Amino acid sequence: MIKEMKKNSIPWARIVLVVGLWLIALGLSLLVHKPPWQEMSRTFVEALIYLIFFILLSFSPLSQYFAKIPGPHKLILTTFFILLLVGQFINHPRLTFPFTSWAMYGRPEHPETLVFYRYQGVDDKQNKIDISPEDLLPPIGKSAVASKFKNLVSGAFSNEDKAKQKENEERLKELLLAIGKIYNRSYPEHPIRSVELIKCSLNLRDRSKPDIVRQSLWRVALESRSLQ
Amino acid sequence: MKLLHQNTSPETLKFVRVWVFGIWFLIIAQDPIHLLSFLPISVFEPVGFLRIIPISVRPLLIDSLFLYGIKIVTLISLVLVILNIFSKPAAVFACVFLTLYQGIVRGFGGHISHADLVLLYAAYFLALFPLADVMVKKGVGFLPLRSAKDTSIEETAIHPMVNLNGIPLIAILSAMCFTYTLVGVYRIVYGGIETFTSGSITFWALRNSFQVLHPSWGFGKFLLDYPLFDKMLNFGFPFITLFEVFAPLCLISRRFRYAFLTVMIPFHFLSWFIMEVFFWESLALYILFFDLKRNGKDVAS
Repeated sequence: MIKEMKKNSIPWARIVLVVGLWLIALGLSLLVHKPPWQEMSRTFVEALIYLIFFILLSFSPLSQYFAKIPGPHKLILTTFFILLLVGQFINHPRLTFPFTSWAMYGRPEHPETLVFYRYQGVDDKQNKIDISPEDLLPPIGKSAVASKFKNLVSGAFSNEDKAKQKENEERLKELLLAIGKIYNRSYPEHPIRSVELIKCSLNLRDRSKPDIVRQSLWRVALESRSLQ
Repeated sequence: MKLLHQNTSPETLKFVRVWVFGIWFLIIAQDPIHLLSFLPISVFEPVGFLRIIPISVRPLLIDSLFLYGIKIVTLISLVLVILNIFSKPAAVFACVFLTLYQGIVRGFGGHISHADLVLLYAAYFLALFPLADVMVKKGVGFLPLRSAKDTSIEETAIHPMVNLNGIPLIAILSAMCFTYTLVGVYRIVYGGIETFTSGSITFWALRNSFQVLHPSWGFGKFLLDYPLFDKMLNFGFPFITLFEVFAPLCLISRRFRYAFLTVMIPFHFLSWFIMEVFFWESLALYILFFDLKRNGKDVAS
């Protein structure tokens, strides 16, 4: 009877352990990166949800299984999940890779205009050829290449910090130049002489006329690396 | 109640090891990482542990010879693991080089891609747990495994011998499910109701579809012409989020697991067609949602 009661009672030891590990994860994340106040309150709410989640799990067979596994295995699992939580709380994927935050498609975005970029190569006869940097750089991944360009363009056109703007401008030019060189290496039979960056805008408010407005931003010549 | 994979056989564990490291072999073998050497170092933003590398040394990381070297070493380590030759040290080496490889690649991206992260975690588990097994067998460890000999009959009923083969598989599945939870909870806490009511999913689908060049791909563009699809997408978004939040229930409930698979497998394909997001590496690990040893017959063998 007493044993049965023991079996059905609240697993306090596990709960204390869970709270302790949760505090370690939260403490570590705050030690590495202290977010702004409004973000910190959200991080705390998020962390609290995980705490409740893990406490609920401590009543499940998963927790009973965890209690039974050997010490070294426990250490690996505990360290892994703490690192995963620390990465999530810090929310700076570049800082905590490979334990990055899993925050994709997490915040609302609904601008009136969709802005994206296209790239064209221009050959000797001034013919324009569509270039896809995403396809030329498969190791990086399509969306990661697109977001790289987007970051650099927005940085090059921001008016907040002139020095940073200049730096981003230079980096963008260098990247366009590299894209042109990789293209010529891939298609030597039809080389291009310059690469053009085109900003495309699509008004999402008026969906009856989804015309894309194209605006040429830059053209970088491959040989002399001059900007036109 | 028994967990999925709790009674996994050594053959199944070997099969999963070959599966995970084999997928990595295919990814690395066909990846033209040397192309990164054409990119300017100025656009390289180191990630994680690569941030501690001095700026003066960073150009070495994208030197074509270095990139070829790291590719070859990674492939050799992966082959050794797959062929079970010096598999324990080879798996650790493979994980170190895979992390370095993935770190260099992600240093050039505008954001950190999550596509193969769970597969990387799977490799970590498959490399580290065999070392932990050795520690247990040699009696190293601060909480030694109880053997049947030194455990009373009553205790054995509550704490039976743990099948060490099952631990890596349960760990991989737990990690995969928990990453879904992280995505779902983050969306609810940080995005709130606005994420689901503002048409954000429509915007993401349109953005992802338009920013790729192929005119034949990116079905998200059709959302503009067919508002019904748009409504379906927006209607399904909170449901997908709920399944993401409760993903770890897959570990303990067979019914929920089947419901999860019924929803999430089509979801991954739809997000590929509509949003240009395809985590095929995670889908490859979906084999772990199935009992690989049922009715006494081992699927792996």
